[in-house]
Amino acid sequence: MGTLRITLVPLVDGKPLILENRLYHIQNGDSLYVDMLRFYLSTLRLKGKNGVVFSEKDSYHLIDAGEDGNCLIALENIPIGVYDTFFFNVGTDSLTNVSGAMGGDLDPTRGMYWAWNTGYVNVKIEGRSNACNTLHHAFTFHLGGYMPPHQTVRKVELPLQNLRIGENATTDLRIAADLGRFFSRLQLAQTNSVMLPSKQAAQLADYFSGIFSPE
Amino acid sequence: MLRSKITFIVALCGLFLALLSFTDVKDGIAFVVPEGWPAPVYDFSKNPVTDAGFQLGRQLFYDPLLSRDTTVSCASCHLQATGFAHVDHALSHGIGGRVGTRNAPAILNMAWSKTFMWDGGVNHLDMQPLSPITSAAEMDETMENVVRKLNASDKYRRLFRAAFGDSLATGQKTLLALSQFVLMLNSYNSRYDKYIRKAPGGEFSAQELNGLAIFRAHCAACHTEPLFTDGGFGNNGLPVDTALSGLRAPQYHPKPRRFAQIQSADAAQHPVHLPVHARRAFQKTVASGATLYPGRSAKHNA
Ligand code: HEC
Ligand code: HEC
Repeated sequence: MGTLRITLVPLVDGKPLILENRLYHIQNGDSLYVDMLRFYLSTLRLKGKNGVVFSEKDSYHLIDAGEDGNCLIALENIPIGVYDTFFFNVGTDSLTNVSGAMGGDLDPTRGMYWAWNTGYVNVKIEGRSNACNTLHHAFTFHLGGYMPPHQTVRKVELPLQNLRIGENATTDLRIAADLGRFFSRLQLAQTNSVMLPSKQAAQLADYFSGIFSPE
Repeated sequence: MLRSKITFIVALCGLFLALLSFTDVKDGIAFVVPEGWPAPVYDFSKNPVTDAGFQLGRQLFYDPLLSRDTTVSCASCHLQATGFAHVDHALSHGIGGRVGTRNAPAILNMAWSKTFMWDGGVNHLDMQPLSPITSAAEMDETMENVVRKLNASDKYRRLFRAAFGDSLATGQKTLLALSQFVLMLNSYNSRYDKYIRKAPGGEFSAQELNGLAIFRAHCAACHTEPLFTDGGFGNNGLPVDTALSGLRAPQYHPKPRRFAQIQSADAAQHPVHLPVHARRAFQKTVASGATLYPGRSAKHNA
């Protein structure tokens, strides 16, 4: 059995994400500051060459790009071998959303739960851009919703290059999460406040699920 | 004509009075599914009710520590003496006397409810307390801070250890304990229940029998026995009150559970709710994502 240490690396167009006081120029012409990036990853799985599948139990992780946040996940007790695919969900599945009070990263004190029209906020992206005609030029994306037709949980599948898990060893895996790929698909002048389960939230969840790649 | 109307009303009142009775909870707490009742919706396997959990939930329910300035507890709006409802008020008021946009319903037989609040906006009993705790007009607090205050209290650390084997308060454990208390607020030993079970003390007068017959003919389609609700939503027929601008869809209300108590506002409205035009319409609105968060602080819900 071995351990896999996964580091999420938040980026904007390949540059490290620094919250609050770094201005980023996106390819689509928008310039922006990012103040918050938080999201859930759940149901983590690894598939091996020989068909071995490792699924993490109670697999929920709140990733937070903040200074005191958390971008690390340790997967433990993985059977030794070579793995070629990493699967995970961005967000929480519908069962999690209707199962009452949960603990750990799903605890409602983590600030990722809607008190009204209850359910988890799967992704929070907040920041500022002069393109936004809003109070303090803020943009606010709180993506959530587990009921059809506007579910926001997304499956992601990343190919790995022969990731080797050794006996009693820790292997590192870095996953880039490049917000540039999210912002380049929208215009902040038009899309800057999405805070309810909706068609738009589902679309933004599609965009967001495309930001991950092995580094 | 007038006489028959009065008889009708008196008969119904008799029936309601027969429904007024609460189970008292003593030592050795156990949730009971009354004979002939449907299985509860609440999944007790995930949160079994224990004496210590119930006691912790009870302390929390009556403790104004849950509010920002320690002035409002759950019981400020849900008064035990009136079936855990807020009588004498058309709209419940919270912190600093701020008036909300809705009235607190009775809390009864919650284990059988699928959704909560007048609009069904809460999908699980455990999550219900988040709304009053974070509402600016009710308790105006954050869950993070509630948990911080609980962890700073020796009394609560003791109670959490007794209930969960670990003195650390978390959001999850706080909510589970509140559920354990709320789940035990049940009504199934009223004279009506005894009548149905043919148990001693369940004798109905001719007047009450008459009331039951009228009720079954005219009311039970929506107020389905034994819970006196089918869990659905109905249009009470009232026009939208524009004074309550924050309130999106006041005409859609879930059918109340047992008539443990009749709220003044609802009683006054009652005659007009009979034509139901929009059963489940609200749920459709919720599903389509078109609902807003009526009357809540944008800060916490956004
Ligand atoms: C300021 C008044 C107020 C306080 C304080 C308050 N509530 Fe309520 N409660 C209400 C109102 C009003 C509703 C109906 C809400 C709605 O439909 O928008 C309600 C609804 C409920 C319901 C749902 C009942 C049903 O049948 O759907 C439960 C359960 C409940 N409250 C429990 C609690 C608990 C537990 C607390 C303490 C953490 C609490 N309440 C604090 C006013 C209050
Ligand atoms: C078509 C469905 C329907 C029928 C039939 C119906 N009701 Fe209702 N009733 C409702 C709904 C929905 C509410 C909640 C609406 C509200 O409070 O405005 C309600 C609320 C009440 C309440 C208030 C309870 C509380 O706790 O606030 C009482 C009492 C009541 N009904 C009694 C009756 C009686 C008596 C009859 C028969 C004469 C009757 N209802 C027939 C749907 C119905």
